[in-house]
Amino acid sequence: MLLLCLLTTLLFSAAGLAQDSTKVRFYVKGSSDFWIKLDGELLPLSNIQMISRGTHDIEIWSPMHLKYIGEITVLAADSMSFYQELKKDQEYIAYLFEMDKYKRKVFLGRTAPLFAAFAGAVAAPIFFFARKNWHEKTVIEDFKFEYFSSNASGADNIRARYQTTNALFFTSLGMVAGGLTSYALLQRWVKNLKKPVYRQLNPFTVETFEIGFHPVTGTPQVGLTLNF
Amino acid sequence: MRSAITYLLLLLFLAACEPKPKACLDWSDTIEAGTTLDLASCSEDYDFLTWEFSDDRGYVSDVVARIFEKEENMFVKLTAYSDGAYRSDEVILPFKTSFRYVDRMEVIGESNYSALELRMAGGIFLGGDAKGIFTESAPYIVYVWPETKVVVESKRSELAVFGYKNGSEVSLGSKPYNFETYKENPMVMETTDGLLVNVYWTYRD
Repeated sequence: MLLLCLLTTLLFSAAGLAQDSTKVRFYVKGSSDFWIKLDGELLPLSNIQMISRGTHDIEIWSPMHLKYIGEITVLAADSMSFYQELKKDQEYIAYLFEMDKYKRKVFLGRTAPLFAAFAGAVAAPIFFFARKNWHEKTVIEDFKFEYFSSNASGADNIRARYQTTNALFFTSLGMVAGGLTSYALLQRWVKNLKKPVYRQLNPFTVETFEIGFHPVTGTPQVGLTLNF
Repeated sequence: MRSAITYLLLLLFLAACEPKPKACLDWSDTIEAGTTLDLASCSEDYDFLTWEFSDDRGYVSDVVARIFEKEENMFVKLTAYSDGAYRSDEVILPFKTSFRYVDRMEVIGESNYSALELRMAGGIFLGGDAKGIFTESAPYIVYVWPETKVVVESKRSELAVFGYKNGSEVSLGSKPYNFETYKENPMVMETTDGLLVNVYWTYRD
């Protein structure tokens, strides 16, 4: 009798354990990381969770997205999937616009003038020597045209090349001078520009996420700040 | 910023520090006609030269090889250009062209001949009363110019000297010359019996 009671108890408890929880796979459209709170309790960081059957309150949050609040009904099955698309945080979208505007201003005030000055500085010596060469040829061809009855179109062609090279040389010098002047004039304005910052508090923890941009690739990246 | 300004100044300095060319001609006022001449200049700090002659001939070179066919008054404008031809200097030189004419023959040494004769392409010049001892300060002279105008022709030729004694002609030797390249003045030769013969040439005034 005692043995029968023991067997019955074991069978019931095993059956109960096996049927109370269901493996739930979470597919969340948001950032790569997301946090889940089930009935007020934070679940471990994983997209596969063992959840007991029945209806539960669920909260999901992912950086740069709004927190989702809803219900999940876990069915009596071996496993099930839960799909949820999180809405983008409007502040993050505004931050992206601000960042874009900021980067454009930095480009206009610093990068573009320096790039123009650099390009001009590289091109100027090249056109300086090319200009000399073509000018010399122009003078010689003009002389030959006067004394040797040489081809007029050849002299015109060389003169046209000289004029083009000459124009490019002075354009290069203009780029150097203009670029440096613009850089000098806009330097203070660029320094006073405030870089937009996007911070978001993880509603489930005490962490604050800050968005930055990778200095080399320029892609957004999440920085983690712990506040105590 | 500072290095960029230095760079710009360096570029301007490079353009400005190039030495100014100097055109120069150190020819004599008369140039030989009838022969090919290599005309050079004493110009400095130039990249190339242009030559403009008054007979409307132009050249772009360091040395001009040309012939002046006739005797005339001319001028040449030489322009020396810097590298790139942004700077130039020019000089205009008036000159005249003239053939070389035989001026005189001078003989130094002891002569037993009653007359001495110089023969060369274009003329025979005979001088009498040639007997005696002639020194450098008092040579025996046969004048040619200006009564007789004989051009020293620009070709291979020879100078030949003859003496006359007792009515007979004696050859005293000859010397070949290439008058196209030989421009010494006087032309010198020594006869078989030790007389030193100097033949002078002159340009037309």
